Amino acid sequence: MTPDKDRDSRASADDRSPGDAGRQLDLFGAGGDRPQYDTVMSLAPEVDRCLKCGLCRAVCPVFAEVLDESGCARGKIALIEGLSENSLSLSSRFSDKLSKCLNCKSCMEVCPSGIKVDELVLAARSEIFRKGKFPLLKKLIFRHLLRRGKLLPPVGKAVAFIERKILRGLPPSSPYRLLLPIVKIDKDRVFPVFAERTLMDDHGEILSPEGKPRMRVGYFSGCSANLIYTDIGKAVISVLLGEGMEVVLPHDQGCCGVPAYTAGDRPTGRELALTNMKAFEKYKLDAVVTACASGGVALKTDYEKILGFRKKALGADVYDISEFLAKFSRLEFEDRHLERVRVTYHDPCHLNRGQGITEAPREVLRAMPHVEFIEMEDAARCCGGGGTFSLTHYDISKEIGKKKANCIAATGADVVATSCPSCMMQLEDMLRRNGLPQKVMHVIQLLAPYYEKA
Amino acid sequence: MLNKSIIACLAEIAGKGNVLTDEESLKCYSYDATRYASTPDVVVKPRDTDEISKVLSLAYEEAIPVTPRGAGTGLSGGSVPIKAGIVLSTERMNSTPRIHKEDLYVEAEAGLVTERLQGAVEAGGLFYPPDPASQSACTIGGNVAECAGGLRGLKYGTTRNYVLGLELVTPEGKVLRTGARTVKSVAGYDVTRLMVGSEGTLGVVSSAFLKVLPLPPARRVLSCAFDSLGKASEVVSEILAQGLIPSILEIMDEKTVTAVEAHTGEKLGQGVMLLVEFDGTKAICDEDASKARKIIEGKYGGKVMGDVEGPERETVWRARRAVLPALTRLSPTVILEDVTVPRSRLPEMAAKIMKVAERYALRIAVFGHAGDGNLHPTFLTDKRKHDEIKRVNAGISEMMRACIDLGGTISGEHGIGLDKMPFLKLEIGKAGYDIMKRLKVSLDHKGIMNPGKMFYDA
Ligand SMILES: Cc1cc2nc3c(=O)[nH]c(=O)nc-3n(C[C@H](O)[C@H](O)[C@H](O)COP(=O)(O)OP(=O)(O)OC[C@H]3O[C@@H](n4cnc5c(N)ncnc54)[C@H](O)[C@@H]3O)c2cc1C
Repeated sequence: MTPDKDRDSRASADDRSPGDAGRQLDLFGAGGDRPQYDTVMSLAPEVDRCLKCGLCRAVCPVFAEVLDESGCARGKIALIEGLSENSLSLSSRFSDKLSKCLNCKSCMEVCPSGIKVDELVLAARSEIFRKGKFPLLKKLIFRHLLRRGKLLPPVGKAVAFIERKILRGLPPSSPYRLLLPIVKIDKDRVFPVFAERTLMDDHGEILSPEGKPRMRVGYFSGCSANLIYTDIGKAVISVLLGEGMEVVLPHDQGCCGVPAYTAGDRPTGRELALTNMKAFEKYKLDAVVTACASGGVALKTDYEKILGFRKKALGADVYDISEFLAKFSRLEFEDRHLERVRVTYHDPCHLNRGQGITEAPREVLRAMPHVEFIEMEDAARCCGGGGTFSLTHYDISKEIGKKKANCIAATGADVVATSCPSCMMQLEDMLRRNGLPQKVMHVIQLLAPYYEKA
Repeated sequence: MLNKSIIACLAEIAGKGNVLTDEESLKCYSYDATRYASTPDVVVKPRDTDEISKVLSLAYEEAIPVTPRGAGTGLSGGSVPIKAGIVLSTERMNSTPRIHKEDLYVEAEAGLVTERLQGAVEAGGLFYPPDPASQSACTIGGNVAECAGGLRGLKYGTTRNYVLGLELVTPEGKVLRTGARTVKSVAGYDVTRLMVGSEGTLGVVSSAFLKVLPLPPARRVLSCAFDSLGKASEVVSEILAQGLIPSILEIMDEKTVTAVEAHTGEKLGQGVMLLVEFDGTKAICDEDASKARKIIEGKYGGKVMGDVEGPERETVWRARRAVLPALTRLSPTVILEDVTVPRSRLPEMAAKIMKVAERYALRIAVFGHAGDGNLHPTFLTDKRKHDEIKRVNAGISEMMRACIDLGGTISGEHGIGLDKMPFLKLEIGKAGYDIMKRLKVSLDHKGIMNPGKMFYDA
C-alpha cells in the first residue's frame, strides 16, 4: 500500500494539515490485514454457536414478508453451515437467499448467543463474490463507478441532467416511465434527484468559524450529502460552524464502501476505505462527523471488523452529527418563531443497532422550540431500504416500507425526521407510494435554521 | 427422494412457490431448536385446511412420511423430519385471530405466532395466559402439539387448559372439529385432549379454539434472594401451603444469577433468587404480596430485593428473559432439561441435581418454574469433549430416574420427540407405552404422521 504521492504532497503543502508525506501509513490493526471472518471456514465456530432457537424469526423484517425460514438469520446461518460442511455449494440460489438480508441487525438484538449475524452474512457474500456467481452489472458498478471516486460526481450530474430533463418533467403517468423496468427499476418508484452542483463544488476543504475554533472537525459527507441531498451537507456545515467548529471537508474523500462490501466486494470496499483513511488522516482532526448512519457504521466499526483495518481508521473518533451535538453543543435554542411542525422520528438501523444511538437525535429534536415531537410505534423497525436491497428486492422492500409508512401516518406528524439519507430515499418512496403527505427530513435539516444569522 | 409426479401434485395443491425441493430450502427445514437435524424430501406450505387435507390424502395414498412444523422452536426434535418425506410447514397460516368476546374464546390458525394472539386479545381487554419463553416466534399449532407451558403455569395451567376445541386433519386427510366452543362438553371421548401434546404424531391441527380470560388489572412482583437453593425451594412450598397462588413463581440458582448479572451488567440480587408475581385487583395483589413478604423474610431469612408493579416489572422480567442468553455464553454447548416433580418434592429434586453435578463433575445451572415443580437444569458443556458428553448423558439418565422416583415427569413442557424417547417407557411403564402405541396405530395405521418420534418402533 504505497501512499498516493501526489495527494500527500499536496496535503503537506498545506501548512494547516500536518499529515506527513513520507510516513508509511500504519493502517492495519494488530490482527493483520485480514478481517476476523473472511473465508467460509473461518465462519464455522461462529456458525456453530447458533442454538437454532429461532427467536430471530420474531424480529426479522424480511422473514415477516417472505414467511420462509431462509429469510431469517437462523436459516442463513444454516445455509452457511451447509457450505462449510460441503453439503451446499455457492449456487445462484444460495446467493439469492443470502442476498435477502437488509443488514438491519434486528436479529442480533434478540439472539441469545449474540451471534454476529451481520459479519457472517457479509463474509458469506464476500465468498460468493470471490468464487460464486456475482452479477456482472454490480461488479461493473463497484469496480468502476464507486472505486474511481472521481467518476461518481460527473456520472451523478449526467443522471441529474437526465432526471431533470426526462424523468422529473414527466408526470407520474408518463409512458416513458415504462422504460424504467428495462433497467430493473419499478416504474412507479420515487427517485432521489441528483443535485446540479455537488456539495464539494460549493465548499472549500477548510471552513473556519467566526473567532477561535473550539475543535477541528472533519466532515465525512458520504455520497448522498455530496451528490443528492446537498442540503444535508450544507446544514451540517452551517451547524458545525455555528457551534464554533473549524470544519474540514477533504475533497478527496469518496464513497464509504458500504454498497460494495455489503454486497461482497471487499477489494473495492478496502480501496474505498483506504482512500477515505488517507483523505482524513492527513489532517490532525479532533473528531470526524457524519450525518450518514451507514457511513458512520463503516467508519466506526466496519473498516475494522469487516475490512480488517486498524481501530479508529480515520485517526480520530467518529461521531454521528446528533451524537456530536448532544456531546458538544448546549442544545439551547431561542425561539425563532418558525412555523410549528409535528415531527416523528425513524431510527435508522445503522444508527440505532449499528451505533447504539437512539437518544441523541431525539434530544436534538426536542430542543427545537418549533418542533412538537411525537414518538411513532415501532420507530426502530427497519424501513426496508437497506441501500441496494431496495433495488434488488423491491417487492420485499415495498411491503416492509408500507408498514413503516403506516406507523408514520398514524402519528399525525407533518414531518418524519431521521438520520440516514438511505432511509430518507426509502421513506420518501414509501410515503408517496402509499399516498401519504408527510415530508421526510434529516434531523440536521430541521436544526439548521437556528444557526442562520438572525 | 419423491418422484416428480408427486411433487407436481403437491404443486397443484399448494401452488408452485409453496413447494420447495431445492437443497437450500431443504437444509432450512431440517432442524428445530435442538441439535437434531434431518433433511426432508420436500417442504410444503399449505395456505388453509383444505390444502392440508389434500396434502395428507396424497401422502396417505402414497405412504409418504409427513412431519408438521410450526416455527421449529421445539426443544425435543419434534419437527425434525427424521424419516424424510414431507415437511408440512404452517408458516403461511397466520391470519388475524377471530375474537369472540362475549363467549370468551378466540379462534386461531395453526401458524399464528403466539405473541400475536396474545397482543390481539389483550387489545380487547382479554388474556391468553400460556406464555412459553419462545412466544415471540413459536406458533399456536406447535403450542397445542407440545402442550406448551410457560411462566404462568402455576396459577393458569398450560396450553391444555385453554384448548376448547380443534379443527383437525386426520392422516387420511379428513377434516373434523373436536371439542366445543363452550367451557363444558362431554360429548364422547375427549379427542381434543388427546391431540394436545400429541406432537404431530396423530394428525395436523389446522386451527384452535382457545379459551381467554379477562385481563387482570394489576400485577406486582417481588424479587427475593436466599442463601441456598434448599431454602428457596422450601419457601416455594410454604407460599403455596399458606394458600397463596402467585401468577408466576420462578427460581434461579446462584450460577444462573451470576451469569445473568454478568450478561446484563445489572445487579439482580445475591445467591439464589425467587421471582414471585401476583395478579388480580390492586388490593388483592398488595395483600398477597405483603403475606408473601412475611414468609420470605421470616425463618427462611430471604431478602426482598425488589418490589415493583406496573410497567416497572419489565426490569425483573428482562432479567428472567436473559437467563438463556446468559447461560449460553458460559459454554459452547448448553443442554436444557425439563424435569418436573410434585411441588413438595422440589427441595429433594434440587438436591439431587446438585449431587449429579458433583458425582459426574459437571457444571449444571438450575432455573425454572418453581411454582410448577418444573426445573430446567442446564448442563454447561462442550459437545466436542466426548468424555464430558458421556458424563453428561450419564448424569441426565440418573437425574431422570430420580425425577420419576420422586413421582415426577421427564418432561414438563418440551415433549418427547426424539430427545426423550429413551426415557418414555421408564416413566409410563410397559402398559402405558402399549396403550399409547395402540392409540397411535389405530389413528395412523399407515404410520405416516411424524414417524420416528415418541416411540422407537413407530
Ligand atoms: C428459547 C426457547 C424458549 C422456550 N421456552 C419454552 C417454555 O417456556 N415453555 C414451553 O413449553 N416450551 C418452550 N420452548 C419450546 C417450544 O417453543 C415449544 O415447544 C413450542 O410450542 C413449539 O412451537 P413451534 O411452533 O416452534 O413448533 P415446532 O417446533 O415447529 O413443532 C413442535 C412439534 O409440534 C408439531 N406441530 C407443529 N405444528 C403442528 C400442527 N399444526 N399440527 C400438528 N402438529 C404440529 C411438530 O410436528 C413437532 O412435533 C422454548 C423454545 C425455545 C427455543
